[in-house]
Formats: sequence, structure tokens, C-alpha cells
Amino acid sequence: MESETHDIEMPDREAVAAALREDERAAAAPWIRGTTPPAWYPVAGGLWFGAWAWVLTADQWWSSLLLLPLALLVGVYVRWFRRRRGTWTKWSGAPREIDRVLWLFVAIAAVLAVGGFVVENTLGRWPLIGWVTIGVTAGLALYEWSYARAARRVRERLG
Amino acid sequence: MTEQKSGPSSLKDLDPVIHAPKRLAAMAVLANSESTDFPFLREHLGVSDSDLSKQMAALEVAGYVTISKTGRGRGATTTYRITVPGRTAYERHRAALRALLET
Repeated sequence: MESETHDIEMPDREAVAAALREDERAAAAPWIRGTTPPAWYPVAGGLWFGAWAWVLTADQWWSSLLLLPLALLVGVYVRWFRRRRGTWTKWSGAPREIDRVLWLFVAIAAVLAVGGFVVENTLGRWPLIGWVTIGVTAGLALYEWSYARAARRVRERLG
Repeated sequence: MTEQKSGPSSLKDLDPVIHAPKRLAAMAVLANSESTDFPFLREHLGVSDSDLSKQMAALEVAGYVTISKTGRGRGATTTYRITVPGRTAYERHRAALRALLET
């Protein structure tokens, strides 16, 4: 699309630098502004994953019927939190401080997955459910604490 | 010989719609989110309701954002999303600003 006739005067260096700083601050906003997850979120997440592990390892015909309500619960939570927060970030483009924490999340998930495999094969079903419930709760708490710290650092850097 | 993007060429790439500071900031927020609602944008930009509505209407007319309204009364929400042309225009404008700074 051809742009309209330009009537922009040549901006001075300071104005351009200020514009780019404001641009960077605004670009970071979806990552660092807005409401944080509620305090009960790590526990709820742990219980949800524990329930998921229980359903997947149960040897009952009716247990798979619980998968749908579990999936719906996630949808309800995500919809509620998106409205509460006012924005939803993309999967890429995070400020570098936040990017490190996102990789921490991946690392935590990998440890829980591998650990869960080991626990189930060595100790059985109920230890697995315990591992998942407690592990996810602790993992989410660590992740949220790290994210809050990283968000503070971004705010300090960008002013 | 490659053409250096600086001086008048970069000036040409500055988008007159996005050039206004509040609109540039709004585009930066939307470029980094899947969607963003009215209160979040208003709080970040530090503008009044009517000012934000005007700025976003200008971006919508340019085809750079889409505006969705859901619900009624107190529960109503207005949500913004950047469009593909909007993202292209924003990236080009930002690149032009950087090129100007490097001259």
C-alpha cells in the first residue's frame, strides 16, 4: 500500500532516541505490566496436574471421562486470567531477562517429566501422583517468583 | 552497490500514522501481544478514554489494528489486535528510526 504524502519533518537525534526508548518500554509492557497470577495458582496447578496423572494412570473405564472436565478447567482459567490481565503475550520477543525465565520453565518441565518417568517405573502410581502434584506446585512457585524478579529488572532497565 | 538506509530514505520510511508517540507506543504493545484490552492500553499510555479511542480509531482506519467489542454495559470489553499490514508498517517505522539514529 502506497503511503500518504509525508509531512514528517526530520526529527533530531534526541527525539529519535526518545521514540526508540519509549518503543522498547511499550514492547516490554505486555510481559511486565498487568495483573500477576493469583497466589493460589501454583497449588491449583499442582492439583490439576496431579489429577491428570491420576486419570491417566487409573485402570478404570470411567477415569477417561474426567479428561474433558480437566481440559475445560484449563480453558476457563486461561479465559478468566486473560480478561483479568488485559493482555496476552506472544510466544516470542520477550525482554532478555524474561527470556531466561521462560527457559527456566522449560527446564523445570523437563525435570518433572523425566523424574515422573523414573518415579513411576521405580516406585509406582501413587508416588508418581505425589511427585507430579508437589513438583508442579513447587515448580510453578519457583517460576512465578523468578518471573516477578525478572520483570522488576526489566522495569529498572527501561525506566 | 547497496543503498544505505539513512537520511532522506529513512525519513521516507517513517509512517505518518504511527509517528505520533502514543500511536507508536500502542503499536509496540500490540506487536508484542496476541491481544490487548482498552484498560491495559490506557494505563500504559497514560491517556484519557477519549484520547485512546481517537488514537486507536486512527490506527484502525489505516488498517493497522482491528477493534473487537464484546459484552454490554459494565461488562463490555474492547480488545485490540495488530494486523499483518500494521505489523509490517510498525517494523518498517522502527527500522527507519534506528537508521536515523545511526546517521
